[in-house]
Amino acid sequence: MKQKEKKYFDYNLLVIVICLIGFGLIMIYSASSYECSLLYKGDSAHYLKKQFLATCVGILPMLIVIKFDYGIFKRKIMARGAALVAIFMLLLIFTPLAYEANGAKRWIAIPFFSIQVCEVVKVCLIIYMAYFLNKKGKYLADGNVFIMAIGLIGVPTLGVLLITSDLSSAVIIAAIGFIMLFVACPKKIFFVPIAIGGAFLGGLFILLASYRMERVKVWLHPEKYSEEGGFQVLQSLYALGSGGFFGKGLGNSVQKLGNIPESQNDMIFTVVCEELGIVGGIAVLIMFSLILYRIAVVALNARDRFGLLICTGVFAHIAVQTLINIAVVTNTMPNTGVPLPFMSYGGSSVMFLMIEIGLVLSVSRHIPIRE
Amino acid sequence: MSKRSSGNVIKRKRYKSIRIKAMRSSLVFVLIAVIVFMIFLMGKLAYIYKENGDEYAAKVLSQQTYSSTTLPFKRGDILDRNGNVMATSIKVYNLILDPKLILTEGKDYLNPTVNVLVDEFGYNKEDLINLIKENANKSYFVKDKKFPYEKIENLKKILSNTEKYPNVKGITLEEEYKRMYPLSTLACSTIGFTVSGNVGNWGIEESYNSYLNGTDGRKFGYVSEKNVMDPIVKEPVNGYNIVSTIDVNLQKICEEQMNSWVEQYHPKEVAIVMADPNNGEILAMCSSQNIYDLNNPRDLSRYYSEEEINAMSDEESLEKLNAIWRNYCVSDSYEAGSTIKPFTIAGALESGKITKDQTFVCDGSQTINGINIGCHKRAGHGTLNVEGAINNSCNDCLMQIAALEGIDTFCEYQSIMNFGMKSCIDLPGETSCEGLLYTKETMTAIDLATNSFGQNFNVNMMQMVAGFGSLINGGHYYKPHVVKQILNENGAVVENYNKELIRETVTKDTSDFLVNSLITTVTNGTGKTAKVAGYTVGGKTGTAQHHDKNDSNYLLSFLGFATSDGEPSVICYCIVDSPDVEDTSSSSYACRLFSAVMTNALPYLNIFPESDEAQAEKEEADKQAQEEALAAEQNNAENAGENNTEETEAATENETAESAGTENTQVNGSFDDDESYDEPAIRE
Repeated sequence: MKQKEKKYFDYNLLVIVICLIGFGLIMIYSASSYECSLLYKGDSAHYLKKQFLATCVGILPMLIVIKFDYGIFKRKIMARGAALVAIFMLLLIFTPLAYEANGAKRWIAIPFFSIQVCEVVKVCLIIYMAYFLNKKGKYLADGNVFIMAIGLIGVPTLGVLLITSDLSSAVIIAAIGFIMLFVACPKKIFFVPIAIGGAFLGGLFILLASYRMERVKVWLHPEKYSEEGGFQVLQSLYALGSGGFFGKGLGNSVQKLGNIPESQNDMIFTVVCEELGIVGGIAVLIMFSLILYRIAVVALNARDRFGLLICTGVFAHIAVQTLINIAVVTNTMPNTGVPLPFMSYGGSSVMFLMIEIGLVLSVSRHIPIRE
Repeated sequence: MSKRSSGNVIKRKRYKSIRIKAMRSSLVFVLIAVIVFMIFLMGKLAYIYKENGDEYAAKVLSQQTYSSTTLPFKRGDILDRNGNVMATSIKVYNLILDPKLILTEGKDYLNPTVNVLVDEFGYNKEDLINLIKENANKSYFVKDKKFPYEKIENLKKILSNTEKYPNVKGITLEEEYKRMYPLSTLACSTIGFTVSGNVGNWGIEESYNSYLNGTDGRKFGYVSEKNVMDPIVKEPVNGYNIVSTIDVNLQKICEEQMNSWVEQYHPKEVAIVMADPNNGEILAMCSSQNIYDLNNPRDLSRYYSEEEINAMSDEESLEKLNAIWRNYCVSDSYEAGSTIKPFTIAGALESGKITKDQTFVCDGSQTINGINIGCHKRAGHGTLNVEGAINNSCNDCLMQIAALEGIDTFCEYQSIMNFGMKSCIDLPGETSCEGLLYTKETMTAIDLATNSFGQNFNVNMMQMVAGFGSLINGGHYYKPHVVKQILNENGAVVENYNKELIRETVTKDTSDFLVNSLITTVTNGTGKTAKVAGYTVGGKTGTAQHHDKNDSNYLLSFLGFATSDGEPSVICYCIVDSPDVEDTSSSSYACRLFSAVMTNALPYLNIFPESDEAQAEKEEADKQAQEEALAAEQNNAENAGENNTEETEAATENETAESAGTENTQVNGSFDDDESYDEPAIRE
């Protein structure tokens, strides 16, 4: 009975996440202060304040999630509840509560707050996927169950894509689902046709949808298609490359002064590189690697498969978003708007990421410690 | 049962642990894949830095667009010699609108903004709204230009009061300078005007353009450590102010008399130049065909009727404008006539071909190479000495003098007197008359004869004034100039233009003789009508035939001076070309103009009438006494004792005399203008 009190808690992960969020706030201030002072009558900390508020608000649910045993989500009612929340949120888009920003309806306005629907869907997907894979785990080698699992991924993916027309989020949701499925599925051979089919469909999609094609052209020759978006790509590359080894110094980015629009959002990494140099950029990537490593460690030592799957989902979420974001700013892949976890400006994003980290920490709390 | 079930449990547990192990290894695989991808991205980052870092850094620098605005410099003022403003630049304001900002969606900027503009400038509200909507895509729209400060004063207050007028947006006032000429037409051809902002055209505006112009300043954004755009202001450097030698009051006197002459006699041209013979400063300069309003230089209505102007093509009107903008006194040449005679005599005396006391017999005409050239007095003047020849303006005597002189010497002295060369006055467009003079090679005896009394070769007024100045000031040919000083905007002297000696023309002796002869010409010679009551004036009349000898009109002129304390102190040269009168050859029209100008000008110049000369002398003596007292005091201070004062003074005097003597023996024609030192040198 003494052993029960000796519980593990992954402070490493918590500390790294806090550091990264803190660093993110600094960078948001640095990146946005100029634009803010123009937009909000000299209030250069406008975005910083909003982000800080969102982070504070996120602390409470995170603590609750840490305190609760993640095992409750193993119950059918809780898992289905999570799925219902996701569906409900998506349907809310059709109500007057939804509001449009930058030409897309992706937000729900509730008093004092606005929530990005996709972020909710991601968390719910992780929970329900983990529930499903845990329950049906042993039958996954069966083709029918496997196809069911794929259908389970497809529903939120298409839902997000069709309702919010947010391709980036749809891709992330699909990626989270597939990574979780990959980890859970004992028969890896199933993934070979999926990979081939995916590549084929992707190619077809790019060929058919000229809008995507244009993005590909911009990606390959940003200098030739500056009007179509190459300008932004080039500007982020300029920012990335111009910082030098140690950067121009915190706050000294020039590119953020109008050349990179909304640099506090998806392009914040370029500001980091410009101000803190290649050293700063790589340090940030190492921080993310450490977070992912710690999540993986928690997952590998989890009490049960459910815990492992939950951690895998969170791991997939953070990994996919980080990799896509960095790949976009380095022009390694075509431009698509994906925020950098913990660092990019966006209240919902950071709040739900904190809840996810809460889940991981909750899993870590239940790691049995052997003498 | 319990065994079987326990076995089942074990089996399931094992199965579970196998599956969780498989998952773990899958997860490790994913982790490794992610880390590999992460390392790849780090590599890509490093690659971008290494391959393109410098290029991108340069790109970033090159595309830095600060919001910058030009702060215009103020073009310098042009002042007359007493500090009266002749040309200045005043700040004006251009009204700039930002229709894009005014029409920002979701904001109510349009009405409050338009209302303010309507209130302040009286625009039609509907028109203004339409205008703004038509230019909805523009961020910079020049609504109106050049408002004076009074008009925008109130608007400025409104714009800075954002609390009371939060929705007044998109109005900016751009500063600019506008050139103003408070004296309008006065001295227009000397001052000149500016075109396209700050480019001087004619006059001082053109010749001193680079001094008058400054350097534009700039206001640009700079990102401070707090990440806000701090405006950095590089102040403009204003242009230098120019102090002219022109005296506005003398200019007024000249122009008034000129205008009254134009009204009375309708001549083709009346021109007057006043100058200081002792340093070449031009005090006033005007010509009747070159009058225009500097504030509106393209207005032809002074000279042409509206129909005439409307009938003109662009080229024609530009031609007419150029004719008006030019400066007769500098740009036009003409045959001077008898006013050349002092120059001819000066040359003959200097070369020693004649003496002052030599006499000539005028029989009314001279026959050279079979051609009879008459004197203006057909009966002949009889026997005249040199002074008499000048007094009576005797062509016959002058022809004889020139013949004695010979072609070579005559031509040599023409060039010593600077004829055929620019006087180098600091005004644009001077004619040199080169090619309108005979050379040693081309001159015949007849040409020599006609040249001797100022016909058949051309001069301009500046050459005449500068040369005449040297004849009467002791032989110093000073460069004529209209600019005295260049000051910076704080009033510190940047450059001084004192007298600039071009060369020595005649000796003091000859000069004195000519001064005396010219004075007697006015007292009892041809220039009697040029007399100025109470003053000693001298001068030479001229009645010149035009180059076109069929022209029955004459260019009448008087080139004279007034003395102050026995020394010539101001030159006045008057030309009345082809007056519409019966006796077209009577130089009295020019003489009387001279007299009229001088009668008004001399009292202003503080030159006292003869009768008050005693008074002037007394004042001068007082001044000297004061100076002496001052010098004595200084000496006292130096020597710390009164006893030595006299000795020191005496010593100083001796030294001065000695040094002056040596100087003059070395350089015949010292630059020193103190005549008392020159005398011994000349006698040698």
